[in-house]
Amino acid sequence: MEEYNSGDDVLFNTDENSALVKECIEGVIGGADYDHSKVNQWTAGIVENSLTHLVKQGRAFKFIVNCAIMQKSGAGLHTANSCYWDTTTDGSCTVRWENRTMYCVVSVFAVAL
Amino acid sequence: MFPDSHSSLCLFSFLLQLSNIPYVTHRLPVLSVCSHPLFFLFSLTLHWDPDPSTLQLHSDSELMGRGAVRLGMSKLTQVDFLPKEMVSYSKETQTPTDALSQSDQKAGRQALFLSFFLLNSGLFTAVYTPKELTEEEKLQVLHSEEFLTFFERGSRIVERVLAEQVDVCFDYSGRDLEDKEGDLQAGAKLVLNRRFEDERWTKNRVVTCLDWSPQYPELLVASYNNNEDAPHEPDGVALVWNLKYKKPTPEYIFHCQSEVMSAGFAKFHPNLVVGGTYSGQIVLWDNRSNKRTPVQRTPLSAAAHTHPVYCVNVVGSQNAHNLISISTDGKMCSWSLDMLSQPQDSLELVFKQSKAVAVTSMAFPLGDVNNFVVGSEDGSVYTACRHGSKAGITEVFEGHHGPVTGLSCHSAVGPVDFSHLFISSSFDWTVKLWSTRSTRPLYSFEDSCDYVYDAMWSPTHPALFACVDLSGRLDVWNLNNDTEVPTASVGVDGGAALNRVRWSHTGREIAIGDSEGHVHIYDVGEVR
Repeated sequence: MEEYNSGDDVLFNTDENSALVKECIEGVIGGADYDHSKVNQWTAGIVENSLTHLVKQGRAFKFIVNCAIMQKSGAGLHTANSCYWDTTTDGSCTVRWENRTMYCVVSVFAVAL
Repeated sequence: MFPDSHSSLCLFSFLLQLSNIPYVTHRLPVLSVCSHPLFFLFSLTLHWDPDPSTLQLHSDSELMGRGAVRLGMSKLTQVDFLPKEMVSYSKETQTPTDALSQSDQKAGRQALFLSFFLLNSGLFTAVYTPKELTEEEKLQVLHSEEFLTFFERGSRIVERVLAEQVDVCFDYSGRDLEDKEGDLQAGAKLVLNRRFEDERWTKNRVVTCLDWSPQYPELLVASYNNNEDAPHEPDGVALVWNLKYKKPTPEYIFHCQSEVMSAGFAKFHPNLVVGGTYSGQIVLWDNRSNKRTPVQRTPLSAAAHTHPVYCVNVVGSQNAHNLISISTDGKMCSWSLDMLSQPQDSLELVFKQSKAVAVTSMAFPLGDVNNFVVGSEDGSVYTACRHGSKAGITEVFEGHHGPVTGLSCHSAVGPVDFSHLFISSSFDWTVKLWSTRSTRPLYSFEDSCDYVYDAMWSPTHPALFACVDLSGRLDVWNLNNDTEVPTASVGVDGGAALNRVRWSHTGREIAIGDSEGHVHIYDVGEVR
């Protein structure tokens, strides 16, 4: 059996961070409808907000946060990502969120320092 | 032997000089000499002041305890948002001359291919070994237009044949019918013929409208509202049932996204079924297309309807007809069946310039395309006309104490003209008889003990009409016989509330829709 690292500080916890990011999204675009004039503020807000919360956890990670907001217009959207890193310590999570008028996809990558 | 003092002094001064020369202290070791006079006891202590980067590397590996960092590929993360499916309908109006030559060519090509194939398959042994198709080829065949058309038709025919149960031992002399059932059947006025229901499509739904086909007297369309227990099934369903064959499944299944509140066969287009929905959209289904979704839809805009459409009707003649639809905000639109993208004409039905009429039912008198009657939620019946200087509401007929649920204009043709008569049913437990010539009701039929949901004149017998109520009762009234009580009355099995009643065009059957999704067909015997 490989070395079992029980310390949360070293591993990237996908579920906890997904929940954190989801809250950040809800906070920024929670009840709003797609608005072209505001969407820039929203993406910036989501990224900054998520990043602040992730850093506040105090873990030794480098974070990369990516946010995409797409208006619901009947078109399809497909994205994919993969990484080459140390699978024991590094991790990523992707959060999908949607409401009646738009889709939001946030990807967080955490690379151990 | 002690070193002599002179040489030691020289050494000491040389070392002092050495220490005075300024040089980079990090690069060369600095020697410090112990100042003990006994030189043979002096010791050199070396302190390495090495490059900090090299120090770091050393300590790093000591602290972390790992050598080379092992890297690997992480799992692929994918995010998919599927595109929305757009249903489109295209109509071609090409004249057939081109098509003929094309089919000729096709036939020629097919004959050539066949002869070639026969030649190839061997002159002596004409055994055709079936070729195994690949998965792709199989899928291609299954989705081809020809296969779909064949399959739709073929499956319908096979279903009819399988459900046929004919009794070949029936004795027409009546000797076998010694039980009471035979007697009752001979004299009965209303006999249950069929009950239509479907496990998937009608369970938990309410029948909202019924209509018989003008072209094929055995076809009946029934529209249903949504099934609350199945949120993933389409909200609006319209099924075409066939009386002629014994198969228990619908002839055609149509559905759409919003609950269908009214439906009917388009009068001069035998292939089209019109539906008015809860969202205000009018949808058109075509049984020539192999699709169950509508082929045409009206837009959801302020130009069309934005409220539920409870009445749709095709009025006019073969060459000049319109689809009339009225929604509950009083807006009446007339459409051309070829183009449902915008109404040809629209009219706001307001009473006394301000009060919009919430229309729940509509009826056109026989032969009239301009004047019509509407019943509203406030309990009044209004007459209105579509064209002319007085387009809109003309008169109000007040008499009901509750919302008007059904309207029917007298339609039986005969020597005496009764086309000015119409009946209305309402939540106030009554059915009232009116004439367009007078604003007071002529008569009120008060036999029911519950909300009367619908009423309809017989299309063949001038004195008969039927009405249904919430307690599950169907009443057939014969005005030649008795005006106090219905001449024939039957309670529908199950006691479900009855929503709609429709006489067939022959006047010999009555179709009833109830609140549990069942459609009952009753045969009408001698109702005298």
